Amino acid sequence: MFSKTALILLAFISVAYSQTDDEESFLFVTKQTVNRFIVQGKELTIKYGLYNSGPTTVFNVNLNDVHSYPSKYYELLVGTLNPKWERINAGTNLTHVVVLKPKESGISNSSHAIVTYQKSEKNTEVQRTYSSEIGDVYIMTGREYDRRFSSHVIDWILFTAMASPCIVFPFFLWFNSKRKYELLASKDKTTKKAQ
Amino acid sequence: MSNQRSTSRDEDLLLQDFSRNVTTKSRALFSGNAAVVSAIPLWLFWRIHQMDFSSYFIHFILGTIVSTYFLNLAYQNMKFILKHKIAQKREEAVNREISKIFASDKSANKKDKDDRVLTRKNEVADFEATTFSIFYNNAFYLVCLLVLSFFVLKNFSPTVNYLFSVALSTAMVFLFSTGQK
Repeated sequence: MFSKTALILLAFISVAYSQTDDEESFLFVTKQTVNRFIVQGKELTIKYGLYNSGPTTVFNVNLNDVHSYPSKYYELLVGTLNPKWERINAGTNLTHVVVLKPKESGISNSSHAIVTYQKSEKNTEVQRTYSSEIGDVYIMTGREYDRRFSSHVIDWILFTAMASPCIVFPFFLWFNSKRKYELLASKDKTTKKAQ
Repeated sequence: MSNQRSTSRDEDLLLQDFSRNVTTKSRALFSGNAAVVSAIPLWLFWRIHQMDFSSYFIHFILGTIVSTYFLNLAYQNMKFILKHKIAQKREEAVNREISKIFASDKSANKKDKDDRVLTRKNEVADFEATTFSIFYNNAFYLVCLLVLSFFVLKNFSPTVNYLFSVALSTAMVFLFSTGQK
């Protein structure tokens, strides 16, 4: 009988201690690029959004995306790839922007950013989550971008200036000669008619 | 003796009139013009299509040579066709012009006057045909090239764009010059 009571007590105690807190928050992290085109040597903006949709605050949030953009291939212009925040309150979100400059062209894959956080101040157990990924992107060369998008107005003006003499000058010569002889012919016709 | 000389001169004049051969001066003019007009679009391709000379050297040289050659032929064809049309049109006007010049000179006979008229008619027709041929072929070539390169073939790679636009516009100019009656 003692063992039965002990067993039941033990069961109660274990249930009481093992029961997890239902009210927990999870962080959702998105990662996206703001650029329409990614061009070698031009700025690339990456935007991270961290959303705390749950009822509790999360603490010691740490985003790490250094592995996606090694300094050999990307130059970091603005922001840090390893930001830290003390807390993100319940129901709030925050964004973090990083500006990079790709050094090389071609297809590049940027993978998930890793975010670690603690669910409570006292519990130092770290929860790890991954952001969404951008996937394979094509970084075009500066030359290709110029070819497709810059306006080239001056180039056209200079081309017109260069090509016009080839067309206008022969036309002018021909037209002068034609007019002279047509005038001669028509003038004599009118004098003939007058006679 | 003098008769033979004058007939051979007449024959020469006639031959010159009806032959397709161009004089050296004319040939130089045509070749020079063709080379210049073939070279000008290269600047456009360099600046706008971003085709640098070091990597596209062969294409550019080949394209320029081919288009120079065919433009030259087109100039000659069109000039030959036009010369006769213009000569017919200008006959009367040239007659008047020479008559005016000879009106003061009583010693000239009809034969000399006719010779002068023929020579002058030849000169004028030659000049007008040359200038018109150069103007028309240049304009046609450049317009074709611009339309092909910047509208039709806009989204193709630079190499394809250059080779096809030069080849097609050269072919069109050349075929057009042979086709006219």
